[in-house]
Formats: sequence, C-alpha cells, structure tokens
Amino acid sequence: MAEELKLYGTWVSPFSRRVELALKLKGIPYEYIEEDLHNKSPDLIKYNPIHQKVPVLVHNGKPIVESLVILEYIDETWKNNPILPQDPYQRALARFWAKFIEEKILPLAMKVTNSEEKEKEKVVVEMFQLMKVLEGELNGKDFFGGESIGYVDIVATIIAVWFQVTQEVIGVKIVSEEKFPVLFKWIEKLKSIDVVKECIPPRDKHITYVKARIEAALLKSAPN
Amino acid sequence: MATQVKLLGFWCSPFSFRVEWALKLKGVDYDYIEEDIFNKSSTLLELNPVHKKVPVLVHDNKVISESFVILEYVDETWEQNPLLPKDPYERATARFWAKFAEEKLLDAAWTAMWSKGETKEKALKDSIEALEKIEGEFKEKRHFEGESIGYLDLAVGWIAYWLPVWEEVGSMQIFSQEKFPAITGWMAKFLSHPLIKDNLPPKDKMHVYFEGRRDPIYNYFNPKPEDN
Repeated sequence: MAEELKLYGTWVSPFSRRVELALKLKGIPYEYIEEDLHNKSPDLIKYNPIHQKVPVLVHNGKPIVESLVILEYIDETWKNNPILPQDPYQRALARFWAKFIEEKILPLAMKVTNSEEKEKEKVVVEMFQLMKVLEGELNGKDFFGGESIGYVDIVATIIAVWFQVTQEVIGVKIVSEEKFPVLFKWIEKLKSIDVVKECIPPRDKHITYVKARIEAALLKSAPN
Repeated sequence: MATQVKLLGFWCSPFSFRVEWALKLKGVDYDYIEEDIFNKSSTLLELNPVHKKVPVLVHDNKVISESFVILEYVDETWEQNPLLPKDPYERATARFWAKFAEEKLLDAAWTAMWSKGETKEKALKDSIEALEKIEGEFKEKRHFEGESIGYLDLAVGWIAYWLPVWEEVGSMQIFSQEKFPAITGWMAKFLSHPLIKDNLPPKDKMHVYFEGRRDPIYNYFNPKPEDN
C-alpha cells in the first residue's frame, strides 16, 4: 500500500517545524498542509479534537499529535538516521532534557515576554539560571546529540531561533555570546546546517509577525 | 555482574508509586529509600540537582529522574512484561493520554484541592473537563479490558486512589460513578490487580498528610500582606 503521510502545521510554529526537521533528517516524503489557526480547517479539528492545535501528523489516516510524541513516533516508524540514541540510559537523558526545555524553559520564556516591568527582572534572572543548566549539558560536544543533531537539538531549535527573534523584538537579551559562549556556538552550528535552515521561518517575516502579536497583546491589556 | 537498583521516593507520592509499580510488574529487585521531601537529603540533591525531586532511579551508576522518563527507561531496560505496546501508533496514543492526564487533570485537581474562590472554581471546571475527555478515550479504547496493565494505567493510576483523597480534603467533587462509567470500571480492575492492591499508601495517613498540606500551600501562594 502506498504510504500516505500528511503534516498539518504553520510556517511560524516551532512545534510543527520541529516535526518537519525530523522528517527531512530522515528523508521521509510528506504532504505539508499550512493551517490558518484563526480559521482552523475541518481536518485539523477532526484529527486533533482534544487540542485543535498544530502539529498533527497523519500517517495512513491515523493522527498523531503533540510534537514530542510525534518525534518519538517518527523515530520508531522510520529507523534510518535515528533521532534518539540507541542506549536506554542515553535515551532517558535525551527525554529528560527535552522535558526540561518544554516544561521549564518554555513557560518561563513566555513569562519574560508577558510579564510587567517590575516582574520581568526577576524572571530574566531565573531564565539565566535555567539556560546555564542547559548549556552545561553541551559539555564539550558540538550538539546535544553529539557529533550530529539529535532529539534534544531538534526540540531546542525553539531556543536557537524563536527565542532570538522574540528577544530582538522585546529588547531583552537572554542568550548573549558573553553570558552563554557555549550555547551561542551551538546556535551558530545548528543554524548553519542546510536541513535546519529549511525548517526556520524567514527572519524578516518572523520579526514582523512577533511584533504584530506583541502589539496586539499590549492593546488588549491596555487600560481604557 | 549483579545489578543494583535503588529508588528514592516519598511514601505518598503518586509519581514515585508509578515507578514502584513498574519495577514490581517486571519483577525487578530494588532498594527503596524514603526521602523526607521537607528535609531533602544531600544524596537527593546530588542525584537530582536540576529538580531536587523524587522519584529518582539509580541503576548501577546511572541516575534517571522524572517519572515518565523512568517508566520508559525501565521498559527498555527490562523487557519482560512490557509496559508500552509494540506498535508505534499505540505507543503514541498511550504517551499522548499520559501527557494529557498529567498536564490537564493532575495539575488542575491538585490546585482545586488546596485553592479557594475563583481559582478553585476554575481548577474544578478544568479537572472535570479533562476527566470527561479521558472517559471518552477509555470508553472508546476499552483500556480496562484484558488482564495486563501497562504504561497508561500506571501513568493515570493516581486517579483511582489519590483523587478520592484530594476530593475529600478539598471538599469538592470531580469524579462520580454515574458520570464516568468507563473510568469506574477501569478503577476497579486497576485497584484489584495483585501488584497494585498490595502497593498503595495507607489511606488514613494520606488523609492526614494532605489535610495538613492544604492550608500551608494555599498560604504559600497567597501570602498575607505585611502589617504596617
């Protein structure tokens, strides 16, 4: 039977672009469907009724949702160019760090963007601490995955790319070369990989998008 | 070479029980070390410096923390009595629902237990909505059929035993047999499984413990303004 693989995503979602990166790393052909999240397609709602979010991977009619769950599904289904290590302990470490990024770093990054001035400073200090911990994991390696990019690198592209754009727009610098020389180097190396470049939003368009979102959020919360 | 497995846990943590259930299901011998989470040992802080929490599994020299990460490690290291199914799509489904229950139900139910007013109302509403979605999945997929329990049962096992305690301590109702028949059926099967029913914390002690936690946690998140 012919394999049918569809990915529902958006050009600017770090979560759907993660999945694209994994598929491209493995050379898996897929059909990409761009979603308008302000006008969700009936397919998206059908395939992801619980969260109604991207990304959704549909493999031979069966939907898989939640980017980390999708990454593991991809790795288990197409065994070439593995994303996760083979050894159970190394796999556990990779999952641990992916979770750390997702559950500790990302929510705090959102707080940096959304918090009031007086709270912002405290949150930024917390961010520095978390980023230092993450940086420690690189530990002399080119990538979190070792000599080539792996699961944690894929999950961390949000830090390498999306964080940088938001920081530029809101004028808060978290990952600077002075403070995080190792992480900074990792970002440069990651962004120089061709297949990664294919899975990053075009910078100008991305900056415009983030600016517009932040302005809209400010308008919403402005006093009358 | 003899293998050495140690588990640092807390006597009424649903997270450390998940790991204990997994180890017992696979017949893995382990040393259990009770941690006083209010007076953390230097060992715990050394083994889990990032989160400083239980459970922590130590297998020979390897240290693993975060209960779901530990469950997968246990499943991959000891292959007897598999926790996750073989098929990638079924594995993805189990992982999805474990994540969903953790993020949408557990946090909300816990918050509802200790909070008051609007916060409590919202947490209760969120809990019920999340449980309804889980009921839908259990009804459709009939997880409680079959003799063996696996990853998802262990991940959501707390619903069968901790949730009723939290409901009482929080003077609230999230679950009911009439509204959640599929979960009710699953709960009965889960709690009667030989390796589960003998491996649960004492309920009376749990009540005392969570009762004692409710107000301090509320006060922590709602500090009283200082007097002039």
